[in-house]
Amino acid sequence: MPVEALPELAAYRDLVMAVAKGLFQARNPERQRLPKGFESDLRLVMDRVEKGSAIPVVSRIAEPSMAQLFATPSADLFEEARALVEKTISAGEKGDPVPSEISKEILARFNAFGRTLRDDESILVAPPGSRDGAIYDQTVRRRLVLLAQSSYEKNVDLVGEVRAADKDTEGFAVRTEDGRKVQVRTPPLFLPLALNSLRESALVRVRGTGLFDAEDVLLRVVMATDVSLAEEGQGAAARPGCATPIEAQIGALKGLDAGWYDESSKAYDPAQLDWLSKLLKNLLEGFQLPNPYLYPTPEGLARAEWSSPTWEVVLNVDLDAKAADVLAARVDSEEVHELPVSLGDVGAETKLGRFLLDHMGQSSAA
Amino acid sequence: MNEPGNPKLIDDDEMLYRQVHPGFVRDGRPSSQAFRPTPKDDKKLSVSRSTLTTAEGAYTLFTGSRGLASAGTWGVTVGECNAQGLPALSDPLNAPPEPVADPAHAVVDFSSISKNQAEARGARLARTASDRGRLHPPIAEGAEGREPRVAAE
Repeated sequence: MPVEALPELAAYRDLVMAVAKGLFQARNPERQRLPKGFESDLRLVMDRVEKGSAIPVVSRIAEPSMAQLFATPSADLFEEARALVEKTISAGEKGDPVPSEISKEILARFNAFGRTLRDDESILVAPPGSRDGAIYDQTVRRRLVLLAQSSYEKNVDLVGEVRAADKDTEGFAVRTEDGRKVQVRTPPLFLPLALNSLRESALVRVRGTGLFDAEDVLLRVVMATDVSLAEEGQGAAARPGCATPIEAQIGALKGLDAGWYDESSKAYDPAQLDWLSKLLKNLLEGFQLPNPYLYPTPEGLARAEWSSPTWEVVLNVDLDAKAADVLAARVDSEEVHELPVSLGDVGAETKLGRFLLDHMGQSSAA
Repeated sequence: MNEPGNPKLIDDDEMLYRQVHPGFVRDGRPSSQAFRPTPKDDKKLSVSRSTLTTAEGAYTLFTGSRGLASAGTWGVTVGECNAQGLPALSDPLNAPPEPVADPAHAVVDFSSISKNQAEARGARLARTASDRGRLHPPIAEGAEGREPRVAAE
């Protein structure tokens, strides 16, 4: 049985329990307390792995007391609660309204359920003995939690350099490979390693619970569960740059005749392309950037593109105006950074180079 | 082109084939501008539906009957477009008025977003398509199905 699935078992139980309590309180408004033994009536186990797959199955151990408590055998609040959880997940899958019995407090509890799911994993919530149910994955989880609040939590695993540490607040700031600074709260146990990383500029790996906003931007690590020295190769996940040197790519643009795309597309001015070649070489050498992929555009701009581990970067250069627009789109969220640059201005190349470097991570080797 | 009310494609797994101009491919990597509309495209990106044609069929129609240039067929799914907030709409082309009929024609609708949003979302789609590889030629590997990690009863 996979050990990493156990927290999900506990979180699922808590969720079903919270829904069942809500149902009980709604139907028994005169009662101030839950019946004795209410919580102990819900027992879940991982009881088998299905044949032909590696999927563990969570089942409920049936207890008679609840059925006796509510007079009719079918009046099982926990089964009703399970069905409501399934309906809620199904609504989250389809973008439908969630059942009216599900309060914001209950929706917030989905934060704890499914936190360990990787992007390609899911949990099937279905009636006993059935495989026909609702599929719960990170997309559904995020959607449900954001119905109740403006941020949500999920597991993070990041590599970066410690840039500041504070013994009093039991936290440190780490600069990740994509250039962002993230605050990390940590148990005191990990602080010495963070302080050492700060002194030695060594890369650390941080695993724990991250807080994300609705655009999937990591706001902070609310609690680290592990901080360790990064292994060799971590933090330098390279998406290599273009293998064709800049001069050859510039040469290809020079070779385009008028009408290369449609009747309105013009040939490029060789002198302007020489200026571009010099600009790009300065940027690549000055900031140790990977080689970009260079393309023409139908509008007559020159377009350089980079794929870093977490960003797609697009630089459009207006060769007539000596101006550029650069845009970086994060691939795992909706985050976008933009910078217009007038390349005739003092310091413009440096500004552009820094922007590019900030979005290349540490994969700067072409 | 697409008229208002054309049906939205709902099968997230349906592949949408995109023909990429040879000028937009460098060392086998398609430019992200191939995955967002040009200013002349009326904010609609033309694609072909995998339920009605193949990667090869889409390429042949584009380069043969329509006489247009393509370095090959790349693809993104309806679900991947939806994940970027870009609905895909059925948009079959009839001849006449079009010179060549294309019942598999569809569009990815960028009309509700800004130019820079289109650039960013096109870049993400291009990365997905590039990671998948050119579909014709050669044939890329199929996507793996997903199995639930835990079944909760």
